Amino acid sequence: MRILVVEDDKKIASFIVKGLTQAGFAVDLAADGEEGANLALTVPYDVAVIDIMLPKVDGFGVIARLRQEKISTPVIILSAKRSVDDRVKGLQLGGDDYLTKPFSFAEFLARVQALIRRSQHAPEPTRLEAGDLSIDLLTREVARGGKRLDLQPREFALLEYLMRNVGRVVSKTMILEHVWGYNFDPMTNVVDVLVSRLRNKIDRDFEAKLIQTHRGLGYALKVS
Amino acid sequence: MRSKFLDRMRRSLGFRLAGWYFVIFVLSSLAVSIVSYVFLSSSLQDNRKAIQGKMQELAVLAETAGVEGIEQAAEVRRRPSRGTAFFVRVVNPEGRGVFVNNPRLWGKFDIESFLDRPAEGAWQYVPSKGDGDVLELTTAKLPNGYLLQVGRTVEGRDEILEDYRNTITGVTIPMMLIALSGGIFFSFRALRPVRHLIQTTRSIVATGRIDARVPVSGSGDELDELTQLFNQMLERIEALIKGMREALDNVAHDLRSPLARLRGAAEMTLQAEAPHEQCREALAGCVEESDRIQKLLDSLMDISEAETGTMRLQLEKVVVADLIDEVVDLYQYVAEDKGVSIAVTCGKNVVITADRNRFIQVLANLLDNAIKYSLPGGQVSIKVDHEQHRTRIAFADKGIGVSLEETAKIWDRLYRGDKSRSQPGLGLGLSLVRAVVHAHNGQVDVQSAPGQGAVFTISFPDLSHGNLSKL
Repeated sequence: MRILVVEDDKKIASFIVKGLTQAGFAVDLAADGEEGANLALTVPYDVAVIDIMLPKVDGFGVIARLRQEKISTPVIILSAKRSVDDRVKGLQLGGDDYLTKPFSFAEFLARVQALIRRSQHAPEPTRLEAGDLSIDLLTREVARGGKRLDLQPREFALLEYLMRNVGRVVSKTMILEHVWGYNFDPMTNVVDVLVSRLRNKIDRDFEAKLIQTHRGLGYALKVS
Repeated sequence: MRSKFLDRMRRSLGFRLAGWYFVIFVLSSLAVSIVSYVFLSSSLQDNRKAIQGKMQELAVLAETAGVEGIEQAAEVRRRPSRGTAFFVRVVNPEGRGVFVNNPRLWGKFDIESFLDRPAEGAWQYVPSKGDGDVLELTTAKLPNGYLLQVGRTVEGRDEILEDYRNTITGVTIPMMLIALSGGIFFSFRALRPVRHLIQTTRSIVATGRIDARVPVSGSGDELDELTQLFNQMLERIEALIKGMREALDNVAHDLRSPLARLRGAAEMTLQAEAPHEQCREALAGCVEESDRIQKLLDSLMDISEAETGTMRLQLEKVVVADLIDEVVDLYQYVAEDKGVSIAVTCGKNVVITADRNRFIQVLANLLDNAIKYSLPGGQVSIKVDHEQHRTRIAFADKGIGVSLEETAKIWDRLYRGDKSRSQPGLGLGLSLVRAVVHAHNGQVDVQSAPGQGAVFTISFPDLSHGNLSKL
């Protein structure tokens, strides 16, 4: 998997490159729009991560050029602007996802992986398993250690999301977006409440705890 | 320098207006003078007609009153004005003049010698002895054999015209002066509002003080309207600038405390040479704190945008009951955890025009608030009333309530009542609610007493009825 990162802020670029390399990707870095466009036009990347405010050619320009040349590499737009207009413009030009700075790296990584999955058209699994926990996506049955567990719809949605990202940390923002479809901040932490309910059903009666809290980052479902 | 001044003068609207006024005034005055001159001169051409008319008049008089009648009539005007006076002479059948009116006036004409043989019915011209005047006259025979001669100087006509010309020439310079001063006066007066506008704008550009206003004349004309609109525009700009400046100050102020906490935590850990595990804890704290700063910044930006009217609302028709269901679903577990029940009373058909996401945010904040301040085991009720052109949504809790002096401050940014200090939250929820509701042309209200619970109400006009101009 090869990823192009077009970002002029050295610190942000280095933490993205470091993180992606650790996650097992091959990463190329371009520090301006012109270099980025040239690389994207010559190398077949699996995903391109493009900042909007770039020297020489801005991110919108790079995306427009790629799509003009019929290059369909999935693009994640990074931007410091959170206005709806910019988001819409980026997606209309052919961007596939939009992430506002500052962002959590876990969320960024999850989005990159989701884009790759989408572009590979991987067959949708009907069953997810982690250790002795299994869920059936069709019948919506959940079982751990042979014992059936009764989950409510939101609890099921959270568990499904954690299991699809098994071993990875997902942030509260990502959970809120995937389980409820919101991207604003509800004042009380509804995510914490949902996670603790799910924990009660999944982990309370079992020796090995699957759901882990990562302070400052989010939650992860891990099989030790 | 001089040519620059002249150039500016030439381009000045006032100068051009005065110039045009002057040109048009002078041209039209000249036209009137010329027309009346032509009319006068043509009417004076009719000297012979006038003489004949007089002749007829006197002939009739002679028939009735004889020569004495003529004499009397001709002498009535003792001092006729020069030029208009008629020359009247009666000659007896022997050919000797028996009467001349005003002999002193006609003395300069050699009448006696010339009129020895008066020719009846013909026009005769008698030159004057000195100054070249010519007397134009005609002769008629009266029934008693007397001859009647009537005439008038041709010179009179030229004199009148000359007088007239002199008069016109005489008034030309004052007329031009009047035209010039009138032009300057009118353009000066008409352009006064424009000059005020220029002055005010110039002072704003020079000093940056937007609070200046153009004096309004109150005349109600176009320039007055322009002035008023200009002032209104200035007011709007002033309000916007003030709002943005305040928002910026507030954001800067509100961000300082969490930034100080972030920096403090990082610095303490660095100085203490803490063990690895403690460093991780501190870092996690930093991440959490920076998340809080980000949320704070987002909320503050939202509030500022909504308050200054720069928030872009994606208006659409939304079913209120659906939105409330969504929000109740979001907070269902939170409420259950606390043992708070939620009761909703809402008609299925209540529809309002609103920005869906913003509206859900408003409802979520209000419900969040109601649950947060409810006592365990309490109840929150959401009630929607739809009157003719107004939709009212009330969130009632049976919680700790708000005191009267607090109800005014409760909408302010970062205000949190003493009793809620232990509760999590940024203190921006209700400010955001108010700002977004106001941006939708709606209103917020709170009714409460300590220990009696609180009712937060938001109400909206029907935006579909063409109330959108402000958005």
